[in-house]
Amino acid sequence: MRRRTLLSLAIGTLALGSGSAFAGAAPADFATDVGPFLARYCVSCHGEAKAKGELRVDTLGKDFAETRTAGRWSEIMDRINSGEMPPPKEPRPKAEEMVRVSEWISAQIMGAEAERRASLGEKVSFRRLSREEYRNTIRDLLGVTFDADDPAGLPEDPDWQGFERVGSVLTLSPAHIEKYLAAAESVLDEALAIGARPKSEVTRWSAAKLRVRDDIAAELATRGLLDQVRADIVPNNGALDARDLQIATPGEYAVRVKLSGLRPEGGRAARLRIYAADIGRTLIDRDVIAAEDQPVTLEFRAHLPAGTHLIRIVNAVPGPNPEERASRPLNYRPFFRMSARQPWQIKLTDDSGKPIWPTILLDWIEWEGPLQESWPPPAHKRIFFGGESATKDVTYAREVLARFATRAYRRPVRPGELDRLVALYENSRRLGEGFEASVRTGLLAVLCSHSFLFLVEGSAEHPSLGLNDWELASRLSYFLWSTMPDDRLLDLARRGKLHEPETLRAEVRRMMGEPRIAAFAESFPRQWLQLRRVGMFQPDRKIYPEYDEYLEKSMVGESTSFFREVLTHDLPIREFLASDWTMLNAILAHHYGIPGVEGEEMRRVPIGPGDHRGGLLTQASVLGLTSDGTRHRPVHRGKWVLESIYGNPPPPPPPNVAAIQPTMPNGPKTSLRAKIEAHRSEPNCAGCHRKIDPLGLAFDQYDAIGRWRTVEEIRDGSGANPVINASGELPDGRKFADASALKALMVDDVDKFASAFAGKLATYAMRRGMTFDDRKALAEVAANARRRDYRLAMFVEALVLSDLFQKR
Amino acid sequence: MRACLLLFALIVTSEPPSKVDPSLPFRTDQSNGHLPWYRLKPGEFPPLGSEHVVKGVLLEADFIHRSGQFRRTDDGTLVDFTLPPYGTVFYLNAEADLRDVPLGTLLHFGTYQDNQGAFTRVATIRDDFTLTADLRLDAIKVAEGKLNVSGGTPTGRELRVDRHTRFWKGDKAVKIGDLTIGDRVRINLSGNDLCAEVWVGVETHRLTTEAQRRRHTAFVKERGLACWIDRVEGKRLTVTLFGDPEGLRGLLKEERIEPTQRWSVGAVVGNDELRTYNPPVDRKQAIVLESQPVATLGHGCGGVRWVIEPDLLLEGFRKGRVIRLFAHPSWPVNDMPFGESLYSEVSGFRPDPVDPNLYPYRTDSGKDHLPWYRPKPGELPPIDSAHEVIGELLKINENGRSGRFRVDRSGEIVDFIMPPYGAVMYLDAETDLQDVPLGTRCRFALHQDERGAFTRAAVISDEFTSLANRRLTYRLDSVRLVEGAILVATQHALVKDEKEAMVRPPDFGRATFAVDDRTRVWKGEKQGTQGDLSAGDVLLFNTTGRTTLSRGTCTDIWVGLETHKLATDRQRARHIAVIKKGGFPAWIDRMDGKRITITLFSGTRRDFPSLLNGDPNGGTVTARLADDNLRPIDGPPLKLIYLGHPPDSDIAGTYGCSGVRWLLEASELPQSFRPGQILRVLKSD
Repeated sequence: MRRRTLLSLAIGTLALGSGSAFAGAAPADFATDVGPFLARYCVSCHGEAKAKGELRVDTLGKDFAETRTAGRWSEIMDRINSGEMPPPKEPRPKAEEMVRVSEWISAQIMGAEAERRASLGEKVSFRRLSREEYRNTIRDLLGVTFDADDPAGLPEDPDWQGFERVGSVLTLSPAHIEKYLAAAESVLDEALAIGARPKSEVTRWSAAKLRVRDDIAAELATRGLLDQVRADIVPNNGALDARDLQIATPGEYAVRVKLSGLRPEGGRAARLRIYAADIGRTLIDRDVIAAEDQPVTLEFRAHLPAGTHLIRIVNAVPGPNPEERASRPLNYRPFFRMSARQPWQIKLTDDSGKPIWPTILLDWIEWEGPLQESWPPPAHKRIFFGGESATKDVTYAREVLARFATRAYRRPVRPGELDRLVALYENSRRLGEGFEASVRTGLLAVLCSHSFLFLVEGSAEHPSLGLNDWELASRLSYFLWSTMPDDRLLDLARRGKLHEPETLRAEVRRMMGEPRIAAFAESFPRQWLQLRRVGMFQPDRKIYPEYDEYLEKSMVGESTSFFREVLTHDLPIREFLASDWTMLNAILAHHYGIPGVEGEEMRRVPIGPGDHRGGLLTQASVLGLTSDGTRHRPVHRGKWVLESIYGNPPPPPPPNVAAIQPTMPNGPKTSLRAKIEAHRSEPNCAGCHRKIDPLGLAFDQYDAIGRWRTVEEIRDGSGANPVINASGELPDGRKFADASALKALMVDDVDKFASAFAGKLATYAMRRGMTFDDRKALAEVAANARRRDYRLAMFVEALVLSDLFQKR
Repeated sequence: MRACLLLFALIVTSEPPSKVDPSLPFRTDQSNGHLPWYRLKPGEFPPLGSEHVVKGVLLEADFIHRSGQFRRTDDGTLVDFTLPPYGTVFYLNAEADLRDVPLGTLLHFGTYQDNQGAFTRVATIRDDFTLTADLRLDAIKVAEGKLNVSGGTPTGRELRVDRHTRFWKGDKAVKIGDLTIGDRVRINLSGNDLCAEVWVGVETHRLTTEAQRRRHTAFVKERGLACWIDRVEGKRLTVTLFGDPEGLRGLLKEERIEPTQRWSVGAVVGNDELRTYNPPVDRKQAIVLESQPVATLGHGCGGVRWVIEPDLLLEGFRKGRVIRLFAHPSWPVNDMPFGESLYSEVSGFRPDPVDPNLYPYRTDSGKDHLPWYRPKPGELPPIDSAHEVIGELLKINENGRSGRFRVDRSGEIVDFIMPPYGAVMYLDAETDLQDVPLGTRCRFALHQDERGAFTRAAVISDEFTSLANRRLTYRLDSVRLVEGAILVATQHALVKDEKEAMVRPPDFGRATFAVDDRTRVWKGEKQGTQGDLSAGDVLLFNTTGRTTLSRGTCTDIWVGLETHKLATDRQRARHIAVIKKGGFPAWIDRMDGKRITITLFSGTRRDFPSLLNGDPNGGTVTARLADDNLRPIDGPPLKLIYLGHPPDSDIAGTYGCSGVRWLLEASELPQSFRPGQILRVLKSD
């Protein structure tokens, strides 16, 4: 029973290799820590003499890449951690000793895992384009938007430690093959001018069409009132306003919306979200501020696939229950103006006519498209470079296919490859297809080939660890732009210049000045910080009624735009730990209680100590993703710091961990910290949690959605809510009073963070896990960056120029 | 106290009183003749003593809309009155609803001027039982049908009794012979000096009052306490409860609603008629945070002000709006009966989708500052654009599409003309004007002519049609042929209750109507006599027009639902015969080569499909030119091929619209065919 309650928290022991002050002393070692431990406490039963349970620890191998061996070590770690071993009657090891053993086992397991993810043993490595990269590549290759996230798009990519581009994880399933074929058909249809030019049409949904019963609409029309009908869209209307949109031809559509958006004084603006439910895509999500009698017309573009789309028009701000009749629209009594609503409906304006709730008054929505700014489309002109005057024969077809394949494969097309493509063209011609349609079959084959879908590095014929210039161009381009190399990079590769340090340095700097660097600024922090997990446990609406999708998006936006700000201004990475500024928009500033910020756009806002923000660790996104839907999770927060900031994720918790007991309704209100500390009093838990918990408890003054507080609100129990104690002590004995003080200590130890950051950056860039063999190279990258004060752009440059980056 | 105040105010003088009361800034019945009367103000209870008290006999009581009609006892004129939301009725010395008061009772109306200056707004209604002290019965003259009483004002009066006079002792009805000289009596009169009801004995008075009090308490508990909102601050509403302060205090005490601590009430939105929408769904829970006494009382003010905080604010929770409060958890929160509930109107079988204030022209419902809608050539005018005038049809001209009527009350004579799309509804069937008997009171939906006079009749309909359209009938409560009167209650048709059973909603209102020798009674297919009428009969009737002194006399009474249906069916059959002979009236909307689009006219979209009996699919139509009086013009009929409905066929919301448009094609169109031309069309068989 004791072992079941021994570790009731989610995290078990630590396995720290970096020797960070936040993790403890030097890394555990088999010779000094593990071997003696096993000899003293285990071998008597699991040695040559007894081998209980058919386990001998004295002869157990240390090749953790071997699954069976790793499994046995993992079991040993679990048994020790849970207190099951050594048995109760045997001498007990000290907690510190057990921790050292667990650290060593855990480090070995993770090292082996990274080796597997690195796939270093292959002569040729194939790393599939991620969904995001595929979409971007199609955009740059064909000038067409491919809606990769739609249900008809591509499957979601799995991640490894937050990274969604690790080659060994991005496998190819039969579903992928079908999807790639369909995607290729679809994008070529849109990119090429084969057949008649699609007719652009305008569909207008008036408010009356959306809301009013047909018979009543007919009456209103004859009374001359139909045009005056508006749709009053209350907050949180969910699925109440929905209509089918028929799209016959896929393509780019202009969407115009005439509406008013009423904003209560000091409150949130109404927020228009147009959501295509069938493809799970938000077409627009924007605050609208416009008086009732001064409507505005918004215009935006949306790429829409063919089909019937269920369009939901949502006022995406929190509000009363939309299912109540008070919130529901009426189809028999149309809305005309705020002063003439039905008495039983939710009150939208106060007695002086000022808005109470953020409300949308919609006049109409117009869909125009498909838009074709030129015909044939630019991609068609580029592919069929000879224009209409070209001689449409096999020679021309070969040249067309060769040019296209070279761009698509990001390297020169090989003669054999080209022959196969031309053969497809010729077959099609023989079957009676036209010239363009026949070439299209070759183009289709290119888009479905592994050379397009995968980043291929290495050669079976000429094995080499180094990258050639073509491979380097792709690695660089997908690292910084998440898309194919541009013409300049390809040209440098063709000329064999790219690998030259000065050329490479110049290219990195050029690329970081291009708008496409936004892909890195957005994608890297999202993966590094595991922001995909924000909102994974939807905060309870009863406890956090103000939490909604827009706030969640803004929370993530703060972190990604913070990263971008550091990158753009080449600031030191210590800003990630503590800063006197952050990136805010109106809703997040309101959430943080920081006045004077208006609008949706994220902008840099100076902050002071009283704002309790600065750096990544006190951003709502990070605080939210380390919480669950109801409360903060100090242990998760501590684990996240170790994992994302120091690159030393603790091992998974042992099995059969009991949950923390909730506060009894009649018992005194007890803080989460007190409950955790009660568990930590167990000697077997103390060793591990002494390292994890302080890093999480320091952030107790931030609730599950990242709001600052001084008192922990406990719903059950009696007495006053406990005042939060965020103080703690690091394993090296340094003490801190709160999160701010902890951040100061972390800044003092910025080298440790930089070392881990180099690993994260390299994992992202090289699309593989970092191994023991990479440590030296990573240390060099960090050292080079240190010479430039760890400035982020320089850090990136240091990585690209390193030997590591230019090797497979 | 209340009785004394009223007694003080009872004396109504035609001459402005010369007495000056400097404490009052307005004229009263007793003083300040040099000052104007107090005018009702939104959100303000009229001060006690500011009313002009008028005595009258209740002739009609529409207790759903809190309005009615009484005949003044001084000059015999008829007064249409309405109760403001706080208007209070006292009956049998207890608070009451208008429905509790029998028709024919002499009442004291505390009136205020309306926008036209007429005393039609009634803040208080009181009966003699409430106002007067006990009288002493001095003499009983059974043979003469007279009683002598003393102790009232004026004292020493001789009152009449007749066979309708009822006598009460305890809770039982007694006969005049059971009365004794010296009995303490309270009497409600029916007109001057005619006793309607006599309550004998002090204990009888107490029991009667108590019964009425209980009845009213039950009434309030079913509907919630009415109040209006004085103030809205954030989520908090300050409300003042309506009613008699003393009665309200007693009710709250009896219901154990103690204003000493916070408690929860159900707040529902209502309107100025104190009607609610759908309380079981609309109710918002509200915490009563505070209860304060009201310092200055006025008519209708219950003397209690509460500060409440609902869990969600609704549009109806605004300053000046009426809400009802279900003040105790034990009070059942139910819908008002069908017809009384507002929600049944807004979501019912024929909801009016439009707030009249939206119209870009003046209507009977508002926008007085705008001009009226003027019909345009070739366009059917929108519904609600006409001004409704009620009057008695006096003459029908030879052309059958024009005539004359006398406006109710004012007696103004109007010569009217019907445009081609103008429709006549009689006995709930479309018809020709000639079918309406002269002397029938009708509703005229009028547009202005070139001079601005309301003479263009888009619709003319009789009372039978008006009631039938709303699925209303009268139930005969009492026949008083000797007095030349019938007393009726207005009732809804049967409706389905929540268990799908057909039930009769409660009465809609009550009224007295005159009958005379010329009144015809119809029962089944035959004409009957007035003697055939009996209490409980379901009636529809038409009357003559109204004057300042007369509510009109019944011209025809149709007895029983079967008779109503028969009358309508006969009228329809007659109209079908006319149409079959002359064709459907229509006009040409537009022309396109040899094709024309026509709109068929009708006064009722509801009945038109059966009248039309299907489109002439695959067939032809015969069209004859007609003049603006729908009379065919000489010339050969034209055959046209029916092509179907045009895309804009489904028209609605206009006068004269059948809802049907046809697209027709001729081999050759004569010159005389042009947009706007009137036609008579028939399907070719």
